[in-house]
Amino acid sequence: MSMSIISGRNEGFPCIPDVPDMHSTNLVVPYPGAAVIIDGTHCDGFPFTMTSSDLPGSVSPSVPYPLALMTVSAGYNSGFPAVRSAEFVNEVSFSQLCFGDVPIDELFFGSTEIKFAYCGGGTVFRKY
Amino acid sequence: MTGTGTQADPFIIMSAADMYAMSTAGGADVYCKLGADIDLNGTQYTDDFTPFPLNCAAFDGDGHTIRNVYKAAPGGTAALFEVMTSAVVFSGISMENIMLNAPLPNIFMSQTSGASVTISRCRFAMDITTTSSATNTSGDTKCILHDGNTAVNVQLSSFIIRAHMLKYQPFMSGGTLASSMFRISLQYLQTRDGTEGALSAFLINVNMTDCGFLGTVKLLTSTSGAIFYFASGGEHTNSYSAVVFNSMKYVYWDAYIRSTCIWRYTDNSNIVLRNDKGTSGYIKSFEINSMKNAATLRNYGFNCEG
Repeated sequence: MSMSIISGRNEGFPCIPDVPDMHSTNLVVPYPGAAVIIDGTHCDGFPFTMTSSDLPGSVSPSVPYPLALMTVSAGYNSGFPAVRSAEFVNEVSFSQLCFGDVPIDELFFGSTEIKFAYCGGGTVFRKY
Repeated sequence: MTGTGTQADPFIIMSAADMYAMSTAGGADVYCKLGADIDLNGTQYTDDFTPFPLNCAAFDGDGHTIRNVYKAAPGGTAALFEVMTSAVVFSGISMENIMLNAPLPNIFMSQTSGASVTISRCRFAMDITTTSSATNTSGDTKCILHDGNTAVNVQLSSFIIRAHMLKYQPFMSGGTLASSMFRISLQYLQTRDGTEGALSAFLINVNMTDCGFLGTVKLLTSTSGAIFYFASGGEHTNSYSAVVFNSMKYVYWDAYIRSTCIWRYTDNSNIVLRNDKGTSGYIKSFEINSMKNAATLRNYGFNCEG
């Protein structure tokens, strides 16, 4: 089946009429009920994810952990990136969010992109 | 599941549990059909996904959707489907919100060699993370679409792929790609140059006709002389790439071009299109407005209605 340019389809580029236009490139995270949690009582204070189901009594996410909040701060770990939990972050630092080894530039809570995060009334995260 | 598994009376799959039941209920002569959308969110498979068994001759999605599959195995394997018969026709299904994180994740895999899948009228929307930094100079063809044991032919389908890669992984090796559309967002950290690049091209020895590619490919690290292989080998006809390439020196569309194919013109003189198969005369470089003008495309031998 050959291509056609059809008004309103495929941003005006040639398309295959029988192949529906694709979804938006803004993918929605798989688990609307999942969130990255930092809770000093679980996972040794490291970030972890929970699903919308109740948190099990014993939480022990498998290692390696795919989502890690790494921070870069001259005053910590000799300036090298390190995984930190919120209670140990006591200064402003710029961070690169990583998924595995790869930097990511979008973080979602449910289907909403996170641009700010708060803890105890103070801003603890801001997307630049 | 209802049905008897014959072509006239296929098994009707209504849930993820039914999908996994194919492992024992299926067979080389068994036919299966989706009777409902399947959402893995909030199920027992949410955090412990294993590949859906494709133990059948044909799997008909009947227009339904499987969504919300998440598999993170940074040190292991991640695949969406395990092909358990020698040949499967996979049709009419939409896969949404599929997230795979592994050294070399695949959509289709097989435990034994010689498996084949024919994909027709399907849609895939996926987020891929690859973590393998292994050098590939031996033609290891673990691709996003399939592993080294599985051959795939695709028609009338669409793919949205957002990929974060340590090194770029091929999408497809061998087989045919016809009348299909792609929207890609590939970001990768390390280049594959020279022999390794050709052996890890996005399309390796794929015979392609009437396909279109939109999106971006970006190298995240500054590397002088970086190369991206869009295609290596295969015979290509009547296809186009409007992909924007960032932070690289050369982009290879190094296939045997049998009829006019279109490449999006870039005014970035730092990017050079290369085709060393001696048929580059059929690759035309067009600006965007010309790529959207059917008459202009036809004037240059690109078959396009409108």
